This record gives sequence, structure tokens and C-alpha cells, in this order.
Amino acid sequence: MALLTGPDRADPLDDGVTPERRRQITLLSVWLLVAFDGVLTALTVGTWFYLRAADVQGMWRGLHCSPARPCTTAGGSPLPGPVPTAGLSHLAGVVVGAVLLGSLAWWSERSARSGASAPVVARRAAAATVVAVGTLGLVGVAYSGLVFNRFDGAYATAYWYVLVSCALHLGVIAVVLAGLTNRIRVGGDVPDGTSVRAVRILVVWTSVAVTILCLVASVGG
Amino acid sequence: MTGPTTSSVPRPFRSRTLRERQGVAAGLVVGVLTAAVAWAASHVLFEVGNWGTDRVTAVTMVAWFVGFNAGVGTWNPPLEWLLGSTPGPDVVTLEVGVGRGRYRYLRFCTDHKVVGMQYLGLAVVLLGVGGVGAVLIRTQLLSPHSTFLGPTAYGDVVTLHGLCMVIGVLLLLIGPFASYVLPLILGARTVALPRLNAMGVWIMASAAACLVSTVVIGGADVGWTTYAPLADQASPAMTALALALVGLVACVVISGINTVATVVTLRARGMSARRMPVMAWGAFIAAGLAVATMAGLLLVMTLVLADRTMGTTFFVAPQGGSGELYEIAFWTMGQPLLYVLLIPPMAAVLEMAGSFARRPVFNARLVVWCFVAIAGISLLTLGHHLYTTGLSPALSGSSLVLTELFALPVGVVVLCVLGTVWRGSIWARLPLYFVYLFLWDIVIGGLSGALLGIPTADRDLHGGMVVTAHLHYMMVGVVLVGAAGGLVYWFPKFTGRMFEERTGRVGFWLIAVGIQVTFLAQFWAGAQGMPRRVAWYEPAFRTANQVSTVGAYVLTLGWVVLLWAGVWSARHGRPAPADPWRAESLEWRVPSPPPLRNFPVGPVLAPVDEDTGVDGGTSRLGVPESAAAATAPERGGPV
Repeated sequence: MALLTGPDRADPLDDGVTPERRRQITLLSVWLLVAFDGVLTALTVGTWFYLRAADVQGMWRGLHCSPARPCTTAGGSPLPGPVPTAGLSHLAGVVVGAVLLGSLAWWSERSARSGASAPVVARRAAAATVVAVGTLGLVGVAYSGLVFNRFDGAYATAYWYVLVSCALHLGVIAVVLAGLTNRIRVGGDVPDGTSVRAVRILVVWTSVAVTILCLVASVGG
Repeated sequence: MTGPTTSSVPRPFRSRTLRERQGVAAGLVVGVLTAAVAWAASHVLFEVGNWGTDRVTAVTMVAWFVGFNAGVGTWNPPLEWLLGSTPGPDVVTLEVGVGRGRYRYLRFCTDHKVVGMQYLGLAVVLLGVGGVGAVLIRTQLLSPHSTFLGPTAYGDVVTLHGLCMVIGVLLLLIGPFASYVLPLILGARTVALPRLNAMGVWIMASAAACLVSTVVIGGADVGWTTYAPLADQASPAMTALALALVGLVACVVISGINTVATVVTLRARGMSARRMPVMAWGAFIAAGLAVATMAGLLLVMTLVLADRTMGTTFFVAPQGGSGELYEIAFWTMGQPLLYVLLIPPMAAVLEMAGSFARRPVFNARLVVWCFVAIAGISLLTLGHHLYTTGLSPALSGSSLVLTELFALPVGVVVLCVLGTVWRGSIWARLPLYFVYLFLWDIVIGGLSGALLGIPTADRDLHGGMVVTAHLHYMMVGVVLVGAAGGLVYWFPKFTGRMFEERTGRVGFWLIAVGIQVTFLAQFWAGAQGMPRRVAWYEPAFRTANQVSTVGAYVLTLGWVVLLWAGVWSARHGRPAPADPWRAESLEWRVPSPPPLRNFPVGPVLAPVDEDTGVDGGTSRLGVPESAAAATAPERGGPV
């Protein structure tokens, strides 16, 4: 078969993309990724409110359960009564963590853009990583403290999904922040700061998304 | 972060030997081994039965996905980033495929043309599987109570056929069009995110394997929409299918981001938004629409996976879940997806019409606005899929208006195609045949769609063969025909050889006749009242089904002949010049096939003469940017 691309005459290292153009590409790509995740988060919130509004067979939080008409789990075991609302304190902690995380990321980027040395920026990125991991831990605590199981009706299911969504967001961001810290430490990124800025956009968006999801799961219950 | 650089290497990521060994063969070995270990371990961890079987399936498929892509090298770029490494010149040279010959098509390769051909290969495989499914379906329907497949296997085949065809067509557009041709049309020397682009194709390859594996692990009788609660109740194959669709979302989003970024940032100097070819606009709008809407599919698939493997109750009505939730979330993606599939072939048809009528695209600016309108309306029209689900009657009116509104921009685009070829200096080559067939089919498919948009008609016809016929007129007669025409049109650029048109015309006529016979007969069966997705039917529908089946055989033969002509031409065809069609756009200004970096230097479009309005076009192609910068206008602002 004929070769589907021509002979290798060009310099493979020269793709004609200037550093400024590459920076634009990175930032535009991150914004598009945020847009995609924004739609996904909106749909998750929509799922919550749809199930809440539809209240199929009175199963949203088992409000219509009573001793005479007990609620059951998916396995058929009777529940003692209406599924209780999850506690708010842990979610409040997650929101505080998310806000702190976003602020730290913003601060790191500002310091990088104002010419701070690599170790300073790396330390701030490392602090953001720790906060991300800590907030992730709070989500775990919130999950372990639930007084219902994920299969105990629509509310329990939706609540579980919101927690998983928060955990996934925070987990991904923790890995990305750890990577960024490492890159700065080995001298990969501070000179042009593109990665720092791109990660800041991602982290701030994640903070917003986690805050929205936690507010929906607590206030919107 | 994503493109090659020549900067020093702070810390080499892996030995070059290991990287050189990565490829499809390594991917298959590592993927199968990882999946086998995961399968054995998950059998120990999870009790088979209830969620356990689905958990085993999920863990095995995820292990395959991770292992295969590790073997191919898909994870190298993100791992390098996390470890703080920057690819050195040797890695860039290796990844771009220099000196790798044909093996670069079986490796992680960052050359956008190679990626385009990798997507094409994957699309042909999936379309082949879907096509075999179509033949099986039509054979089952040859007689009213055929035992050829039986109802259960029939349902499984319908699911696989639908998904393979939709995904296959999607990959056909992502690969040859968005990845291969688009950068050439724009005058770019690469795509914006070459490594991400290369990751997308291998993620999709592993997802496609999950999809096809459903045949082996039991099949899922859920249809291409995989509606809940069927999706919750189907065999464990549904878990594999859901994971495959998650992989599809990743691939489409990656490709969409890459396409949008390429169009926005890498257009040739002087190519303002107004001077951008229609094909580039079509790819840009479709990619943006895909990025904006694929979240719907990701959401419903993760909810299905949660229900199946974690015991949640999103779609379990007795526990407060709702199948309607699935339908609403699915169609937020599903309806725009149909137009993601439609817009690029429309744009390709316009490019072909212009080339073979020797005229510029008629009212190109209006065409672009029509594409925007189609994309915008598609975001609002999920309602017409929900008439029969208990949608409030109050919403029927708005759904009707929005659905019928589609006719306006689609009709204008059709008129612009006609306006382009009208009184043109027609050069009747094979791609133009596909343009004419596209026009014929879109009229029939479009008018039947307008009929189905009427609530009173839709409530009666929704579950019948009229919907099947309409969908297939659009998907096969319009999208696939338009895409096939585009592939024939750009075939000289892909292969460096001319398409053998005599055999190609035989294939074309078989396809043209096959489409009309197959799907007009389905309209006939639907008008008689035949329901869709049934393996057995009343004898009254026998004649219409037999005619449709004969048509399907003819149609299949046509595709086989066309594919054969393509394979033969790629090996033995006449060598193609750089511009065999004497067309205007930039891709025809480079040799066929294009060299590694497409253009020797960044192309520059000469400015439009303000006095005469004559577009200087590409007459100054090849002038170094530094020399031309003084006279060429800077690219326009936001696209």
C-alpha cells in the first residue's frame, strides 16, 4: 500500500508553533475542559433536583414512610422510618476546604506571575496539594458518617453520587497539583508559568464545582 | 506540555528501549494479561451474582483499558507531565514516526495524518461489524417468523449494529476529516494538541474492543440508546458497553478540544474568520457542539454503571428512580450528536460542489450561520424524543415549533449546495455523484423528519418503522454518503494515488439504489403499521420487508465494492498530483500525500484586493512568515 503520508523530509522538531501560540493552546484547552465539566456538573445538579421534584413513589428521602407503611432497602429489609438527612457539618468542612484550595491555587499563580522563585511557588503548590488531600479526606469522613446506604432510595443514591463526584474532582486535582509541585521542583515550569496558570484554572473551577455540589446536597435536600 | 520542544531533559522518563517497544502488539499483550489478572482477582473479591458479576466485568474491562493503553504508550504524556519530564528531541522524533515506515500506524504517533488514518481504520472495522449486523437483521426480517437469529439474539445484534454504526461514523469524521484534512485546510503544520490527539485514538481503540466484546460476554438487548431501565436489567455485557461509551466520550471530547484549539490558534497567516473554508467552519462548530454536549452521555453511563455495580437506584422506580431521567439526560446529548454527525458531511459536500462546479461555495457566510443555527436549535429540541414518555402536553407546541425550525437552516444549506452547482462548469467526477445522492437523500430524510416532529403524528409513528426509515435515510443516505464522498474527494491527498473511478461508480450506483430500495420499503412497512425493533412480525408486512432486505444486500454489496476500489486504488492507483481537482483550498497546495510537517514554512494568504475584491488566495504560499508579515494582515480576532 502506498504510504499515507509523504517522505520524512521536514525537521520533526520544527512544528512551527511558537511558544506564545502554545501557551494560548494550553489555556484554551483548559477552558474547554472546564466548560465540559461545567456541563457535567450542571447535569449532576439537574439529576438531584429532578429526582427530588419527581419524588417517584414518594421515595425522595422516604418522606412517605411510616410505621404502618415501612420503607425498605433495595434488598427488601425494612427501614426504621424516613431516611434522615445527612449531617451538614462535614459538607461545610468540605466547602471550607474547597474555598481554601481555590484561594491557595490563585495565590500560587499570582506569586509565579509576579516573579517569585521556584521554591516559593512550589511550596504554595504543595500546600494546595495538602489541602486538596485533606478536603478529600473530609469527603471520606462525610461518607463514613452517613446514616443510610446508597441503595436506600432516591435521596440516598443522589447524595452518594454527589459525594463521589466531589471525591473524584478533588482526587484528580490532588494528583494534578502534586504533579505541578514536582514540575516546579525540577525546574519544568516557572519560567513561562503556563502550567501554573492552567492548573490554577482547573483548581478554582474544581473548588467552585465542589462548593456547588455540597450546597445542593445540603441546602437543596 | 503537549507539543514537542527542544528544551533540555531534566529527567528522562523511561529508557528509550522501552518506549520503542510500545505499540499495538505490546498493548494487546499487556492489556490481556492485566485483564486476566484483574478477572481472577475480582472473582476472589466479589461474590458472583447480583452486583458481583457486573463488578467483575467492570474491573476486568477497566484493567484491559489501562493495560492496553500502557502497552501502546497512551499514558506516557500525562505521566511525563506528572513526573516533571519534558520530551527530548529523540522522543519527539520517535513519537512523530520518523523512520518507522508503516509501523507508525500501529504505534502511538503524534503526526496528525497518521492519527487520521488510524481513526479511519478503526471506523472501517466498526462500520464493518455494524454492517454485518445490518445484514443479519435484514436476513432475520426476510420472513415473518424467522428462526435465523431468534428474538434475543436479534435484540443483541440490533444494539451492536446501532452503536457500531453511530460510533463508526463519528470516528470517520474525527479521523480523516478533523485530524487529517482540517490542519491542511487551515495551513497548519500540525494540530494544536498532537499528543492528546494521539491519545484519543488509542483510548477509542480500547473502548471499541470493550464494545465488540459484548458479543462474547452475552450481548445487551437495549438498543443504541441503551434506555434505562433496560440498561439496569440487561446482562453484564451492558457494563462493558457502558464503559465503552465512557471511553467514547473521552475520545470525542479530546478530539473536540483539539479541533477547536487548532482552528482558533493555528490558522494560516491571513486566514481570517471570514476567509476560513466552509469545511473548517463545519468541523469547528461540530467539535464545539460535541464538547458542550457529550457530558450528557457521560452522566447517564456513570449512573447506569453505579446502578449496576454499586446498587444505586437512579433508574429503579420502586426505589424512587426514574427511567425518564435517563431519557432526558440522554437526549441532551443525543439530539445534538445527530447534528455533530450531520454538519461536517454537509460542509464536505459544499467543498466538493464548489470544486466540481468550478465556483466558490454559494453564500458561504450564510451557510456558516446556518451551521450555527442548526447547532443552537439542536440544543433545545430534545422534546421531540419525549412525546411518548409522558411529556406535558403543554410542551408539545414548543417542541413542534423547534423541530420544524430545523427545516429552515437545513433547507438553506441544501439550497446553497444547489446554488453552488447551478450553472456551474460541472466536472462530473465520482465525488460529485455523492453530492447529488446527498441532495436526494436529505430531501427525503428531512421531510420525513419534519413529519415526525408533529406531535399527533409522532405519537402514532414513534414506535414504528417510519422512524427507522427516517433515521437511516439521515444516517446512511446523508451522513455516510456525504462522508464517503469526502473520503473519495480527499483520497488522492490521503494516499498519493487517484481513486479508481470505474469500479467506484459501480459501488456508487449500488449504494444509491440500495439506499432507496431498503429505506423506502421501510417507510412502506411503517405506513402499514409495522413496529420497529421486532424480530417477528405480522405476515401483512412480509412484502415490504423482503424488498427492504433485498435492498440491504444491494447496499452492502455497494459498500464492499467501494471499499475494494479504495483498497485497490491505494495500492495500484495512478499517482496523484498535488491538486488533481484544481481546487482552491490550502490542502491542495502541498504534495500528495503531504510531507511530515505539511508545509515547508507557515503558509501566508495574500490579502483581498480592496479595490477589486479579488481574493489573493494562496498565491503567495510558501513565503516565510517573517518576510510576509509586513504585508499580510494579522489574523482576525475571535473566530
